[in-house]
Amino acid sequence: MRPERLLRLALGPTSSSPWGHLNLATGVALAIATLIMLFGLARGVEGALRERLLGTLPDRMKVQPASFHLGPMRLVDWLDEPRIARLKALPGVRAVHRQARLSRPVQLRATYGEQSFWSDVVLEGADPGLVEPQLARGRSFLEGTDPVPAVLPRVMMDVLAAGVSIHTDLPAIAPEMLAGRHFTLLVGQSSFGAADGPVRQLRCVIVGISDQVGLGGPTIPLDVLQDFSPTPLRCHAATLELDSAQRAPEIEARLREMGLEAPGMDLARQIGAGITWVRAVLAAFGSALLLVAAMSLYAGLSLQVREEESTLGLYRALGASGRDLLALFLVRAGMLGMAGSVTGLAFGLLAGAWVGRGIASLAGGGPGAPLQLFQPDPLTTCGFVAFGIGTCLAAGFLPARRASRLSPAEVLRR
Amino acid sequence: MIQVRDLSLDYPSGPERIHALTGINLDIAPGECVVLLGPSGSGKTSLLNLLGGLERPSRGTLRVGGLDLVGASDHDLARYRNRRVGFVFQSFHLDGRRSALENVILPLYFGQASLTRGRERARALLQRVGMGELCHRPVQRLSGGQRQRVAVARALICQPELLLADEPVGHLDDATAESVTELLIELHREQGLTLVATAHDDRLLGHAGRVLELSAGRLMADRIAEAPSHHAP
Repeated sequence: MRPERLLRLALGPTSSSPWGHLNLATGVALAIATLIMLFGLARGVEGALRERLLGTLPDRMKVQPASFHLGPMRLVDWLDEPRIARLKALPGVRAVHRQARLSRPVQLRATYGEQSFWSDVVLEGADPGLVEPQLARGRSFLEGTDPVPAVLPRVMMDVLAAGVSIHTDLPAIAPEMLAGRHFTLLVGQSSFGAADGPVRQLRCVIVGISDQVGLGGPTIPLDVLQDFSPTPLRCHAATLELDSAQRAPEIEARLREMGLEAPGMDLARQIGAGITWVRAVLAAFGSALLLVAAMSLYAGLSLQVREEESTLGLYRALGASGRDLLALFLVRAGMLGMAGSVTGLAFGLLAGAWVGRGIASLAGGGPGAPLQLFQPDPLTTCGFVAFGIGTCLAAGFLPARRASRLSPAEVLRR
Repeated sequence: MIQVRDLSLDYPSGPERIHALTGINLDIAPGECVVLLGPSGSGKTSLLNLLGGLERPSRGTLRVGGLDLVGASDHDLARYRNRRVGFVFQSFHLDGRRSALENVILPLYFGQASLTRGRERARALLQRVGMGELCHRPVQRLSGGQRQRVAVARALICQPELLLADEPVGHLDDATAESVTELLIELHREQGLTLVATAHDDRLLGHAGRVLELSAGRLMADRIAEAPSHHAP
């Protein structure tokens, strides 16, 4: 039978009510919508976790010396200059950005509106290349003495946003609002009193928010930090800038040979393994839903074959071959699958976006950095639609084969 | 045109086998009008089903216009039913959810002919069988005689060479039965169709060129009708 005639016949009147057909497609729509929504959310959560825990720049790899635990003591090694030089020489490494901490206590003092607050912080120094991609527009991290350029960790801004903006009538804190604001650091002083040695005051200007710097406090240029350290600074970590994110596993293997570790990679693996497990559970759940929908479709189409036996016998008498009737019911199953899958796609995308926004607002992702918790993968989403249609075709096969094997003489005799 | 040799049809019925037809031999020439007579269960409908390719015989040979219906594939049989045979059933077998016109063009869906031209031909056929005014009416709202006229138009839509009618007026009142019989005979004459029909009464018998009498699945008599109204060309 010609395809357009097959389609017209499949779309033609059937003895079941249109609502019956819709019910069959609804099950498929529900299953596909659930799969699309849950997988989109899983991907979004994975992305958010990676971004918040590992940073937003995928071609960067943080490196630190492997640490050893001896009872309660943790023995820490340092990245000395020869090691830094070896890191720079690794194939696939474009640049190495050093990070070091000041071992003296530091207190940060700032005002925001009528609010003034202070906090003990860890002052870090870094090479400019570490923070350059995340500087506010028109700002520089190159050496400056008064005020000194400083970058705040993203998590610190989130804490400020959650702790100040939400509980006061001050505007929400966003990265662009912080750029250009000043704060003061008192080096050698803490909330518990002054440390040994003189207390030095350092005026800073915020030039950016970064997820590459240490979480304990602001980061200033490494050379400036050196002036405040009574001893030569020792680098506790470095960030490698890679030619390509794909080279990370190969470089990580070389790092292990050098007695170094990349904690972000381990974390990424743990996140990936966790999300893979979650995905497997979701896939099983979605497949179970789809299986129920397919069984309902099978039952519905079987009923149609029984109800339409006399019509099908007539079609056979008028010249339809068994293959024509097989195709007729497969087309019906495919159309129901397509209707269900496309409806499921639309509902899944809408529901996923809505649920993702809801969870993000509950999680308090922080102003200026909205969490995108629903991130459907186009390929996976198309795969689900195809899976829905394929499942319906499979569910429709047995009823279609039964229709194709009807004996016209027997049916017309009844 | 039709050549039947030692044709038998058995089918299982519980633990037993029913012998619907046994050892039928006959030839039917193109353009003949043949009426099958016999009591219920004598095998008339089974013979029509075999001639129409609706089922396959258990034994014997059956050739229609050079096509071996016994060995033909499902696809070839379907094509045979679509292009070369027209069926008129006692209980009409129309698709109740479609209009008269849609029922008439239904066989075209399974063939290669143009649906647009087929629709024009269907209108003309409905006009010819006296149903031109009612062509868009759903068949559920038609009387028995009107439905059988639609069924006749449907049987002719693919311009078949063989028209098989199984008790075509069995469910109709006398007046309607008379007019449908007249219609079938007129169409048989106009289009030179080979008509094979089963009948209980002598309405159709009066127009037949040849009568085959069946009893218990066997061909008991093959005779020229007493007062044939039409001779085969």
